[in-house]
Amino acid sequence: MLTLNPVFAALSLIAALILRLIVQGGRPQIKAILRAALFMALITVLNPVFSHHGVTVLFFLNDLPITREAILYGAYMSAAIMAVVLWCGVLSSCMTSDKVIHLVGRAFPHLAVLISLTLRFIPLFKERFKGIIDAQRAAGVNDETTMIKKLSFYIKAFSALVTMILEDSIDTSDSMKARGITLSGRTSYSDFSFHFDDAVVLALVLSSAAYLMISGAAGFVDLSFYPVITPLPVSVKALAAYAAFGVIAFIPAAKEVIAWRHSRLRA
Amino acid sequence: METLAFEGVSFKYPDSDRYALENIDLRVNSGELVLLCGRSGSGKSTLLRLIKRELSPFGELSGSITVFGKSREQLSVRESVSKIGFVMQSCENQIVTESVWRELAFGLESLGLQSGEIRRKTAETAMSFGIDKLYRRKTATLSGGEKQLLNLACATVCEPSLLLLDEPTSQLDPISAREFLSHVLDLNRELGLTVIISEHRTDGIFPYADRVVELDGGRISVNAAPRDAAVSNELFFGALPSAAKVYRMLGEKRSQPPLTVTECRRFIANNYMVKAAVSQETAPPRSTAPAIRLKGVRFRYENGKDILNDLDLDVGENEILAVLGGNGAGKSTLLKVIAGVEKPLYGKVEVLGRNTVKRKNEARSLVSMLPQDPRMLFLSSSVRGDIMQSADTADKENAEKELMRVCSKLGIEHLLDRHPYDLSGGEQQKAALAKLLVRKPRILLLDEPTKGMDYDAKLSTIALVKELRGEGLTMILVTHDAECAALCADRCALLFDGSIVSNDTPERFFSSLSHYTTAAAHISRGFFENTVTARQLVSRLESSEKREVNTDKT
Amino acid sequence: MKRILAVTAAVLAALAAVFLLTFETVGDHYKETDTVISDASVTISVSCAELCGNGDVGKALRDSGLVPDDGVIIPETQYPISEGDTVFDVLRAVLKDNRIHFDYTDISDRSAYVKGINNIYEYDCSDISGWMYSVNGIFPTVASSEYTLSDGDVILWQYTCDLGRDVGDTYYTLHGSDAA
Repeated sequence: MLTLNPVFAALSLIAALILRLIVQGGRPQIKAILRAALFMALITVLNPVFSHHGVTVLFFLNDLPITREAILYGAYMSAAIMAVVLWCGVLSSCMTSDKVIHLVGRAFPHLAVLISLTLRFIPLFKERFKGIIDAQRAAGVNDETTMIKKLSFYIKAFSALVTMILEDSIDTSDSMKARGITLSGRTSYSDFSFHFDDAVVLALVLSSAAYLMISGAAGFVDLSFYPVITPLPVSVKALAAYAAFGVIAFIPAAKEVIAWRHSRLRA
Repeated sequence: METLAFEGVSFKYPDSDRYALENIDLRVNSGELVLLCGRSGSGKSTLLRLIKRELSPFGELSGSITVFGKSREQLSVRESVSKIGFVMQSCENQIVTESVWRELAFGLESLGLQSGEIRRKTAETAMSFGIDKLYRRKTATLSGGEKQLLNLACATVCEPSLLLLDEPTSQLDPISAREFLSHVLDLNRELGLTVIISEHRTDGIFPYADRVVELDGGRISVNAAPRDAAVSNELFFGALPSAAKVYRMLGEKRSQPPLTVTECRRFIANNYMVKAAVSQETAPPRSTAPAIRLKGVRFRYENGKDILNDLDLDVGENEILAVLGGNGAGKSTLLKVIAGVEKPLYGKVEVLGRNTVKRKNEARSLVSMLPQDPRMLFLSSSVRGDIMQSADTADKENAEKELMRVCSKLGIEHLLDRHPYDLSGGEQQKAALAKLLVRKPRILLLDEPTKGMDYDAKLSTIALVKELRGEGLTMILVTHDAECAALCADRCALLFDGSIVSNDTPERFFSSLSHYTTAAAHISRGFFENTVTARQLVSRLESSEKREVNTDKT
Repeated sequence: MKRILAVTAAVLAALAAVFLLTFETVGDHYKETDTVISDASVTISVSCAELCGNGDVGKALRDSGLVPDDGVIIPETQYPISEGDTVFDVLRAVLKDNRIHFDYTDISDRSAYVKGINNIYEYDCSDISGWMYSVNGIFPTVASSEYTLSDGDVILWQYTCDLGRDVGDTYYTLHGSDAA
């Protein structure tokens, strides 16, 4: 974070929450909400235990002051961290392998193949490993009575897995060679293309980000929690910075809502 | 126009004394469909791989190989890649990417085509192979048949002129195999692709090939049109389609042998006066308590669907039961439940009176399962090591003795110090079996034991199974191979929709099915009852009256 | 199974909280303690003069009014000591008497580290700023909780912006500066 300002944390958290609901399909899960709330409460409560800055002392714990500023800072941090966690979750749902390979493949087609191979092999490894374990157990040829023996079994099974995969991958590499992996001039096929609205979004995001950089450097959105909580910057410049952040944070959700409404109108 | 020419080609693998291919002279013209057959190890794979430089094995090569009029070395990599398509045996290993559409695009990407053109070509190929509905799927979620079809589509997406297929259906179930071969035939007939395909199960290709070429020990022993090949003395019996096998077994040598079921039926109708029903095979009386009993078994994996649903099954002691069923019907799962590896949701499973859940260890010590891929059992770097490791868990003092006993029975003493992965498919299966037998199980479960084998190997596996039954083992075979089931099983059962739908002697079982049955049963429908193997059909024909033969038409 | 473990953990945590933590309200904490009668005494003062007018100080701290104009937080005060009292003990007592914010950590049973006085913390001025003490003009190399006082010692607690060099500590000048 360039600057400590609860407005950014709040905007980030709200935007991430909305996007998560959209990505998930609109029905918030009680369990997940409780877990998130518990997490945030934990951080809020733990901060004053470790940080004793602040002029407003509420009480003393083990001879050290528990201050209001520390609690509020904890709350701020919990919001910021929770927002990041949610954003990561949203990213992993949206950023499918297709998109990753598309982004990579334009410049490095062979890297795209490598990523694709990796994605292909991971479920295969898992399946084969389970197959080996099951087959060994069904054959009844292994002793798994003690912990050590069980561990030794798993290690041997893993080594067998690697041998099998290596052996089979000779066929895979033959398949790749047969289809020209060694040829130069490889392209990378994908069906994503750059549209007008992508350009609009990109422009908005870049300009907002630039303004935020400037405001961070110039310092007119700064806020401190220690030793006293400074007042929230509400100058025109600061409000513009909040708006710029809001643009970046809410654009994905906005796009989804527009698309949804668009389809509703059509139908 | 000649697509391919082998002239005096000989090939020796490094470290080997014998020639894998010796003095091969072969010419294939454009648009021909050539069936390459022969026993395992006769050199079919080697021959096919030598045509495509990227897949060529290392070794001593002499003679000349000309493709599209150019020598193999003159052909550019680009031409070799785009003009020659190759489909290998393994459905799984040929797949490189994680999505179907990307897999289709792979070859085209290599050739440097732009996205628009790639899109067009992959769309068309997907539609013509009927896998357009699978376009967005992940390759990991496809069935074996779908994967192999995808491999075929990928091999043809670059619009090759020559298509090479190395035992493509050996890992597939009969239904998928039929669909696969129909596409291959289409490619040859509709698009005029030159096709060279090697196969063990020749029923689907033999009648439609332009030429049948047989390799025997690296040499060409047969190179003729199908009907001529079928009556040739040289042709390995196992390479014949079922109809021709019956013909050969009858001792017929006339020039127009039947190659399809229909032709065989016509042949029988024209040449024999068939009496109606013959002997009724009664079910052999069951010995006392069943060795394996499943009652009301329900099973599902975590993702929800019931695989086994209210399944009941009894297997008698010392009985060989063959379980058949479609792809994904749950046959392997059934074996796992019996072996005690998976626990049923409801119901009970008992082996020799021991419940597999309540008396898990006892039950497991009685049952052994040979998986579809015998390599899954190998944990050691030598066959001896693997068998010894398995023997140790059973009987430490006599481990060495047991090992020698089992190995001599299976005939694999000479393989003891080899690495299991260096063995051929059949040898691997025997080594895996040795690992199991050394523990003296009472019940043996075999998952697709004849997959990918040539005819002779199948017969020897069947003989081995019968021998093991003679030693007192109870066995369950899961198989797609109806012929194999008919030849060695005491009873056959059909697994469908989670439960056993039919369970009877092979004769009654296969006679009651009209599609999923043996070729002999197809042929004999309407002529004889309860005739499910070629041998049964032949003996019944031999005891029937022959018609006077007016002309030589069949 | 998981639930049992979670409940056990929560109960243990609660017990730990009750037995290991001491709670005091603000009033309790600053309650007047009985004055100690003793022959021995020391003189202690606390100053952050280096921060006055120092441009490197963060804006928040500058604007907060916590830095006195002359930098004197505690003027020279005499304080009675008992046998075994350390510099740290006296500092804590004096700050408590004057109701001044004090933050420290107990690194181990003996060694305490002073992090902040009056909300003026280490690193508030620069990477090498913090609280230092001297006794009788000499800067001891041990923690304040390990220096036992004698009658008549003069303790100076000073905020340094420069590893002690600006308040007279020659240690690093003589021995070369390692990481503070």
